[in-house]
Amino acid sequence: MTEHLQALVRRHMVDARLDIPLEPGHITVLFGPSGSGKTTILRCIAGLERTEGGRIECAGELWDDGRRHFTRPRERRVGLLFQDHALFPHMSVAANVAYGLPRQSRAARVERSLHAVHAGQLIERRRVAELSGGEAQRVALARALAPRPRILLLDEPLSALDTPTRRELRADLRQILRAEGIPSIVVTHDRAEALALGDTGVVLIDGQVRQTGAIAEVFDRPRDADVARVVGIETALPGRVVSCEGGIARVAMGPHEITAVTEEDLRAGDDVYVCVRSEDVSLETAPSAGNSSPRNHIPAVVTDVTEEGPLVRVDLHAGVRLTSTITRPSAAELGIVPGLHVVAVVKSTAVHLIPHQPLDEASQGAATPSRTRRSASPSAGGTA
Amino acid sequence: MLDWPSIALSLQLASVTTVVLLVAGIPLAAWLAFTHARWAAGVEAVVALPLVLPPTVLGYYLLVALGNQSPLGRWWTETTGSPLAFSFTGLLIASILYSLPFAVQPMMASFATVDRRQLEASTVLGRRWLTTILRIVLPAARAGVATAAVLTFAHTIGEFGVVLMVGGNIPGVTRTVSIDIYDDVQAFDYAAAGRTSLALLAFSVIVLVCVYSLQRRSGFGPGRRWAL
Repeated sequence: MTEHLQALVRRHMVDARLDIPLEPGHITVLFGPSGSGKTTILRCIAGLERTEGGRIECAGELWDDGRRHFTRPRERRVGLLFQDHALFPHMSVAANVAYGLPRQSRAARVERSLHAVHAGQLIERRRVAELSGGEAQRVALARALAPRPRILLLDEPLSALDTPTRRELRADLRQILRAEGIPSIVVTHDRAEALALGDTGVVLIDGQVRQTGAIAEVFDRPRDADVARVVGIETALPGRVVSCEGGIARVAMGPHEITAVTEEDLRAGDDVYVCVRSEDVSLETAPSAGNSSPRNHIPAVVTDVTEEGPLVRVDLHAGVRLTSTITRPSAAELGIVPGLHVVAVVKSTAVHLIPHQPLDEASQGAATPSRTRRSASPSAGGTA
Repeated sequence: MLDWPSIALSLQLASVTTVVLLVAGIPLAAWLAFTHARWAAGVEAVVALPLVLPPTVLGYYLLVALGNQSPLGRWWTETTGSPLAFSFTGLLIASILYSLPFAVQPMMASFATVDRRQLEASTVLGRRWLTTILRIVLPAARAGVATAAVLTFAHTIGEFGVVLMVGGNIPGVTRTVSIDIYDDVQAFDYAAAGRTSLALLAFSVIVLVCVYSLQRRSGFGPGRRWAL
């Protein structure tokens, strides 16, 4: 039976109940806008703050009952990764990673941890100040992982990095966490980060949990308007890369194959989320005569029509679920009603791909050839 | 000639006071810098008292507390066979209390500038409070600790009122340099007072210049960014 971390976090405006499975390598994403209480929850779980009348239990062990009982952070065996690494500036890379380790077998475990985060070449570095942002964050991750924590907490782990470094580490991070087999909670306000990293998504708004579920489901099917506003208005449909060349990817999505422009380092066979804003999906009732510039023409059936002020939201079934937002006059002109056969038209530039390694494949050892290629890149930290 | 026994006594007193205050002051300063306890303000006020009290007031209370009329003084006399007041040990206790703010306040200020997340990282990584202080806080706050040591040492060398009240003026036992100067002036021996004063002045300037240049070279003083 899977053990759980059960937390009722009450502090200031936060009043959130969480139930996080402690499965090896399972990643839960706490997603919400700034000020929604994500970091407070993480700090209460780490024991850096006490709840006010809440309760935190990890695998049946009481950590915080909101009153008298409080397990100190150093007795909780959690790992914590800060936004800007918080490495100890006066220590070498190796000393930083060794900090939480017992004296015996320290050297071997330091080396193992640095290798696990694909930063083995940094072990000789004396000065932490000379590391690039990405390198420093990898070392901080190695430091947090080295003592084999029961749960790893990551507070906006990529937000302090520049875009290329962030993309590179994001691609690596999920694989590292899975390979290490430690359950993790990632706090983020970045949609792409949440989709790329998470298995389970928890949406927080104003200190309250508003939706919990599989990550794609949370982003693709927000439960209410508030959640929809927070998670954004793009779809998040699972797809698999068929080919990727010169920044143009072909992706199989349900029965269809679509074209997308991407900056991600993708290979055939990679799993991705296909994200399209409903505004970018236009509708035609008959296939357009002659050539048109949009690359993606997807036959679909209208399943639902919802009027939203001057706009109309049209839900479509095309083997996968799609949504289109068009103006009311357009809807009237096209005679959009449920059951109508249409063609959804999407420009390649409007399709946004987010790589996401699925659960089962990753847990089976993680080191598929296409992955090791990426992880073996020597410039682990990207640009300095 | 300079009064070497007085100088030696002052140096000895200042050294022991500095060592004791660093050892005791680091945990106290760390606690004050990081605690959320409400009564910390009270403790901070007590630590700062010697800054505002006239030395004679502090000296008076210490004399009463250390004298043979008090339980502490009586216990000390019974245990060691000699009284606490007008002894080197008594003088040391007075110096420690009198220089407490000079040790605690600079350390407190520099501890407070240490990145909190580093302390949090240390505790989450399973380290005790004392380990965190020694391995994370002290290296980051070296400059504050050095400043505390220099100020404590210099302040003890220069103290006069409390020493006179608690220690009196026993050559070789409680007669420090500052009292020596006072004595010379009382005896109209301005030449001797001038020599000792000049020596003390030169010593203070040299010590301060040494420490500040050391701090600059290690990248902690002004004129250089923190070499972290």
